[in-house]
Amino acid sequence: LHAREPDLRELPIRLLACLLVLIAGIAVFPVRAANDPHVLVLGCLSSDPKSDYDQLKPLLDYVVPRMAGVGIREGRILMARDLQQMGSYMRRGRVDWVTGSSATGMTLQSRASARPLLVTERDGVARDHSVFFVRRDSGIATMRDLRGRSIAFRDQTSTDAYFVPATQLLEQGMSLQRLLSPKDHPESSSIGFVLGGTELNIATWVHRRLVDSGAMSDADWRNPQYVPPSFRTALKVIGESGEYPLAMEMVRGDLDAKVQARLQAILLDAANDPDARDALLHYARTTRFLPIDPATGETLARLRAAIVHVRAEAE
Amino acid sequence: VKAFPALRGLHAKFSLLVVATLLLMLAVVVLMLQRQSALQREMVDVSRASMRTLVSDHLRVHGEAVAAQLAESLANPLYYFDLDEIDTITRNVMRQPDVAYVIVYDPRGDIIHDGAGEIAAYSQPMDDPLAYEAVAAQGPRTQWSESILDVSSPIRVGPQRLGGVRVGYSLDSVRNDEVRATNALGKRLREVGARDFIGIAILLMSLVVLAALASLVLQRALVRPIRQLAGVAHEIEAGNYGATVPQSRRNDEIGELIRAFGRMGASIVRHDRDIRRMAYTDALTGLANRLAFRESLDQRLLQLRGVGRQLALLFADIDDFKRINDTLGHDVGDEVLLQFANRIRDAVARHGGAEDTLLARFGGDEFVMLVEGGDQPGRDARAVASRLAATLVEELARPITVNERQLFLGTSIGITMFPDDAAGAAMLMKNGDIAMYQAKVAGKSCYRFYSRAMDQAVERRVRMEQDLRGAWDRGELSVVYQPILRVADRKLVGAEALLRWHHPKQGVIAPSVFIDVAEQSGLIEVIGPEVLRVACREAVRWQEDFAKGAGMFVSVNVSPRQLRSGTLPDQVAGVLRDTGLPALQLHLELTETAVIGDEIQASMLLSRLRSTGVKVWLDDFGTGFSGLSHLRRVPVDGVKIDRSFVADILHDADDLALTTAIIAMAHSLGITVVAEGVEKEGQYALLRERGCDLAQGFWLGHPLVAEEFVRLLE
Repeated sequence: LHAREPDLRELPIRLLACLLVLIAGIAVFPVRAANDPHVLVLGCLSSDPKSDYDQLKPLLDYVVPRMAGVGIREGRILMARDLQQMGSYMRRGRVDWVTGSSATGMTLQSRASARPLLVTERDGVARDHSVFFVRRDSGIATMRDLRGRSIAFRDQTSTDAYFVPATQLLEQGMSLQRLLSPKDHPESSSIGFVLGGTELNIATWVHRRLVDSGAMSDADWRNPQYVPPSFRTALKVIGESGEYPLAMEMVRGDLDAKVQARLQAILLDAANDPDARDALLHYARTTRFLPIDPATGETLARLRAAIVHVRAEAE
Repeated sequence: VKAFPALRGLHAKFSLLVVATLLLMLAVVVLMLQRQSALQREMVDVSRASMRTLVSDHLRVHGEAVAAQLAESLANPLYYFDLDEIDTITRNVMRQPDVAYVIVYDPRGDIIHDGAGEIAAYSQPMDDPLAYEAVAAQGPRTQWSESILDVSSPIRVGPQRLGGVRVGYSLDSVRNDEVRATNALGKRLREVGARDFIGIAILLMSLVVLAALASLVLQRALVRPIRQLAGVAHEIEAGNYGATVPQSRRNDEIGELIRAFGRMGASIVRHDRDIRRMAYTDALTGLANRLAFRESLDQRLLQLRGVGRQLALLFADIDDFKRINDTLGHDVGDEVLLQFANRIRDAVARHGGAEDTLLARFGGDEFVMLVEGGDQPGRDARAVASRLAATLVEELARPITVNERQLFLGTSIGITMFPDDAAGAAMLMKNGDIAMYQAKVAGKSCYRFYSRAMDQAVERRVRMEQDLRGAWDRGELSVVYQPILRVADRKLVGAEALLRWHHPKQGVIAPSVFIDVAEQSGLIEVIGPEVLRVACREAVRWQEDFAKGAGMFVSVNVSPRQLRSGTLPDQVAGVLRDTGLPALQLHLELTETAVIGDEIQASMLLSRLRSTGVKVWLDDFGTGFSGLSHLRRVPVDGVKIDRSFVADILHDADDLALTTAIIAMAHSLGITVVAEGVEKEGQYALLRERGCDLAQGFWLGHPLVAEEFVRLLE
């Protein structure tokens, strides 16, 4: 859409459109009860608000009535397109509670002083690690062999297929260089990375020798939908990362403690409440929420640092 | 042939019917065409409507789907207010055919994007008429205007309404399509209609031609022959029975009618011939009848007028034929007539000479002949007629045998000449009649030529008949009595009552003259009984008043007509009862001819009379041709020898012999013999000598009136 040169006729419109986007954030969809202590606002990063709305709503509907004790009478959903927008919402107190990947949570913590609330277990998996894989016939045996080679990540928000593997590569002393196309080649001293957008793209690109290697979570690696068995036989894992939580619930840093505590308690109990079952399933197939133990806290802290590092190094 | 009035002829009626039928069919066709045209319009309307419905439905469904899809795809861009994306999406939709506009609006109804690219109307409220409803609607909304189909759909994320989208479809092309399709349909229908019209027109024309042909066939097959037959019928009606009936070989009803008509014509001709024959022919004898004769006579007279040729008309009448019919019956009479006719025919064939002699029977016993004379001497009409008449008299006098019985008849013939006696047919025939009558008067069984004098005689006779009628009442008639004496002693034993007529102008008229008239005219039936009554009363007076008169009888003549009437015995009995005269003293005298016709009936009547005691005498005995044999069969008490015998008895030996024989025979039968016409003493002496019983005559005593006669008794 934006690839073509804007012509003179369209220029004012585009400027106006940009301006409008800014206004819209404030004027068109104002959360009228902004910072209203009786309203609990659930936020989410979404490129498809229409469908994501339906995923979030049941859990919110489950939670809100149970929080009457802390003055919550209404729940709302506010979605943002990107972290910048979500960070902005949080900073201004317009979002109370955000669900997202670990990387998202940590980024918000860094930028908007969000606090981690709970670890989210999805499909029974709360924690995972990322794997690096190459073609068996690539001659690449270890991660060190990746220098001067290319690697495919998903996108720059991904925990398991961007921040975690990138951090690991950086920690091993290698530098990352963004390639705009899989056919591009990195400098020999660094590892060139391309963003495939999806796990299937990553696997396919590796299998087709478009890129030399790929990285994704172990769960995705084992998922035949992302990595078909025919691909897998031609591929091999050459390295793994340490474990990290997959997803998290974050709350606004200045959220009322009672509210936060009540929310935490409700979510923790949800797994045991049959009434919450459907709501949890809709909520990105959540199975339960787990408290953040110190180890996890440490892991998260490392991840937060890594994200900063990656951003600094790779972007 | 009669020309029928315009609308009454068979052909005209049929034509009228055909024309009416055609008009009716034409009306039906016109109605059908009109209906078809209306149907076409209706069909076009209906199909237009259904097409509009179809297209509209399709457009609506399509529009709703597009709007729904658009609302779906616009939700996310609108959520993030990605006008660029909204622009892309709306432009895509705008590119679709018939899409007039795409408007994205916020919940208040203000325009966010109008699909125009420049968003010139951004943030302005929508002000078109369809906007309000579109904004107010909670769900998808479809609205129609004259030229636009407006489909709107709200854009939501969850329950949150972000706004809506409206898609406007232009109906112009739809309308155009509709008009085009409708026009095409209309055109097609008109084509079909035109084809049908041509077909129907051809059919109608065929019908007209067919009707004309039928009319022609009807004219030739039905009307013309019927007119011909009508023409023939008119001719036959006018009397031309020979009119030619057209021939036909046709096998149908008309042919049969024509042939039947022909047969009928022939039958009429035959009947006409038969009727003519019957009208002009005498059924019994086969001769021409009065009508035929009259026509022929007229025709003949017309031809002969001025030519100078003569014609003779013969008028023959059988004497006393009526008696045959009355006494022997009509079958016998017919047989007699037939035989007479044959004899006349033969005689005419022999003497008439020319074949142009006409012979006819005038009914009854009259035969008429018309004879034309030739040029050679002795062959003139008068001579031929004279010879023929003589022959006929002779021929017809011969006895006729019927049923093994011989009948003696005579014929009287009158002859009249043309142009001598009369110039016209009617006159001629009247003359013939008169001449015939004269022949009868002259004694029958003879012929007479007509003469002017005959007219006078006839005239006299007619006048006499008129005078005689009522003569008795006027006292002109009187009864006289001639004494009858017994020959042996000249004693007065009775008297014959005789009738005298003293005509006021002509004086005394001879009985021989007026008795005949009375007999012929039938007056005798009135006069006879009166005479009988007077005579009987006188006889009673003799008995009662005079000693000499005791036992004296009176003799009264009875005419044949009286006898034939059959009431004579009753009359006699009545008179005897009234007057008181003993039956023995009444003698009735009958002529031979009175009994000769029917002996059986006469015998019966006479027997009845005699049984009462009345004596019956046969008058004028000897003159009739029945002869003595009658005496055997007819019961009589006495005979009166005719005066002609007595007159010559002194000089004629034959008469004397005959008289003597009669007397002898009568005596041998026990019958009294009376002689009349005794005028001389010699005669009387001779009669006495011969043994005659009674006698009367001038020598013995003249007829005397009653008063004078009475003096003889004193």
